[in-house]
Amino acid sequence: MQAIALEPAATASAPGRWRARLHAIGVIQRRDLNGILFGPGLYLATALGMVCALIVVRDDLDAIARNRVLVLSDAFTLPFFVASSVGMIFLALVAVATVAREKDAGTLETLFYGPVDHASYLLAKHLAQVAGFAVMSLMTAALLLSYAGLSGLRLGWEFVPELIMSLLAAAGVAALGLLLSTLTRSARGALILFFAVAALFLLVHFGGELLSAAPVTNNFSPLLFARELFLTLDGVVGYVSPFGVFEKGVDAVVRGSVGEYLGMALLALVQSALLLTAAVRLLERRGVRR
Amino acid sequence: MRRLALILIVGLVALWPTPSSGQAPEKQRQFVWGLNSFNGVDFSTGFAPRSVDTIYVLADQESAIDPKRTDVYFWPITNEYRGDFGTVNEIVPGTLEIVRDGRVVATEPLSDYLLQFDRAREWAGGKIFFRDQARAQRQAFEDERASYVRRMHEYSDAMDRFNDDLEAIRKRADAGEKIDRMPDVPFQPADFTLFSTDLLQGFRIKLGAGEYRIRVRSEDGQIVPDSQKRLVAIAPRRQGIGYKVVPAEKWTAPEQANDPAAVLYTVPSGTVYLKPYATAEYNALEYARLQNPQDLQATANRWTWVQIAPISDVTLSLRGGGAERRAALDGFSVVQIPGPALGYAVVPFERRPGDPPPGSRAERSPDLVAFKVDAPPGGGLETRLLDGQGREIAGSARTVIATPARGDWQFALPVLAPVLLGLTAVLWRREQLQSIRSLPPEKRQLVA
Repeated sequence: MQAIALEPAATASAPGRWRARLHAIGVIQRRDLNGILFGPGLYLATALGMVCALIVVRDDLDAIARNRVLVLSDAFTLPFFVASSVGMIFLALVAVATVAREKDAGTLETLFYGPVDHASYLLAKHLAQVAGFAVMSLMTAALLLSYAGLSGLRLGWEFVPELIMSLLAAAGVAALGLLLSTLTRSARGALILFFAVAALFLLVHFGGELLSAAPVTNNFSPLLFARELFLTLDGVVGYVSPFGVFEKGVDAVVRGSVGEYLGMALLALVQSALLLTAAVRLLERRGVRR
Repeated sequence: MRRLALILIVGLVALWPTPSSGQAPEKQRQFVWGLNSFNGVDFSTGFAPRSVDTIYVLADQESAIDPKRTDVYFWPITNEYRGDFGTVNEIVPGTLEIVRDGRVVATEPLSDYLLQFDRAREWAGGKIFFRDQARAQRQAFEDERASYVRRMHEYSDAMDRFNDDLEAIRKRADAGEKIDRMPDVPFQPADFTLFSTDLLQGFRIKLGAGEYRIRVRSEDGQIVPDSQKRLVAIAPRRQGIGYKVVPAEKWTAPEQANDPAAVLYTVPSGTVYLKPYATAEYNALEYARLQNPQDLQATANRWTWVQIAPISDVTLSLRGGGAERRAALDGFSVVQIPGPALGYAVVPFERRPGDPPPGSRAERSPDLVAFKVDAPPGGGLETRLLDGQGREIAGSARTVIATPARGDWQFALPVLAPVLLGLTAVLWRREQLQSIRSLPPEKRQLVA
């Protein structure tokens, strides 16, 4: 770890403190980003995302060959959404494990004996993860471009705002992972908590979708109450969950609704800021000791 | 024995039909809103009983709501309330008050209105007429009906004359006379397709998009109990031009291309037929409740496209390979291919010399009126609708793309790229670490 000269809080001037803080952020971010880029996880997650995207693309091509006609609003929205979601889950796992693992191993405490504060530490981690996701997104984009060339399916201009939205949503996912990581004392506990939260979000969202499609015969279904409950919860989760915001943002792109897209982009930024702030406060309160 | 008799008696008492088993549903006299709501395509007729708290209408479109009193009962088979309008169907007099943000924004008196439908004209979905126009339309309907009856009488007379002529000819032929000319068969007049309701009474509704509250104020100045409801005038989220896409090989299974962002994919050199419609996208729950206020199937998280009306008097511009051509709406017939294959072919519609004349009941018409689009062997076509002046119609542009066939292995190759890249990065990193570890401690310190 590179030594960071940070003046004592009482004597340092504000610009000096910020300079030192930015330096600390830069160093930790580079270290973490190297860890992500030179590990196998990022590439495996990208490949897994591409396999999922491939299934969707292949399915579309099969439908065209069999049915002679297929109408699609944006052929690569779903493949990109799926591949990005896989990437975000990888990102969340990295984020969830990172603080808890360093705390668990005692390296976090050692780090804080140096001139590093809670905010700069978490912000650096966050930036490293978002940068890692950006690399994944670029790889995914390049691969989808190759699919567009191979298949003839149209990859339109919509892909650019979708890519930007995925980065903003990924920032929210990384912040959520960091928050969960600071909530627990062990990496295992943090992972369990993340999977519980992710499972809850998925259950609410896909439960609502499934129940919406359930037939209501003669105005009756034993699932009517459950459907209303899930749809109400999904309405909330759609704005609380970064995955939900990503979905809404992508939907806005497909519909060409600029206002809604900007709203979702702003919401993703607000989510990131709130979750990161909460993570910083929690880390301050819980301390960095094992 | 005594126990058996006791069991039998108890069983009989339990199973004995009583007045309560097979009861008619309990009816309750209520104020209800009778609805004749335009849904973009036609008029949905229904009613909103006390249990319904919201009425949906289309924004900026005329609909009618009738203040009524009837007997309402619950029908358990369909789990909904029904009105016994056959027995009680009273109009509740008063004035409609439309309230928004706590203040009355409009009032509407009770007025006569009627609905008319005519599938032979442009109002297959129906039209609504109010006040004087309603009375005039009712008179026009009765006149047309009388005219139709007259035409039918004339046809009947012509048929009688035709039969008499035929009989006379038969007799002349039997007598050995040579028959040069047979009499013309009279054609039956086209069906009378205009339908009209009687003159009804209700309130005319035409509101901008938004949420309102409605109530009826009776002649004595009081608000009629149960007449207060939430009224939502719904507007489409998106609208434009949609297409019914009929593949030449599957004309009975058309696809819909309603979304303006939709791309039509087909096989190289494939043929599709495009039938344009004006379309609008509504929230599924609001649109379903507009048609049936008691609907429970639709949910608010879904959206539905509605093809409002077919579009005619337009041409289709097709751009591809650096050239542009224009296609007109054409009529097509679907003909069965003779033989065991039982296939069919879509061919241009043509009138034959022996066809019944236009306007007669048996007049032939095309099975499909659409633009024929032949996809190129590869690449795409940009299509857009042009109006009579050659201007592009907003929301009508679509892309037709012919997708080439490719082997699965070609798609699998790109997936290997991140794996290979990752492997290279990990191995390179490992080599770097190993080379640093192999350095003497003082050099490692320097690197660190």
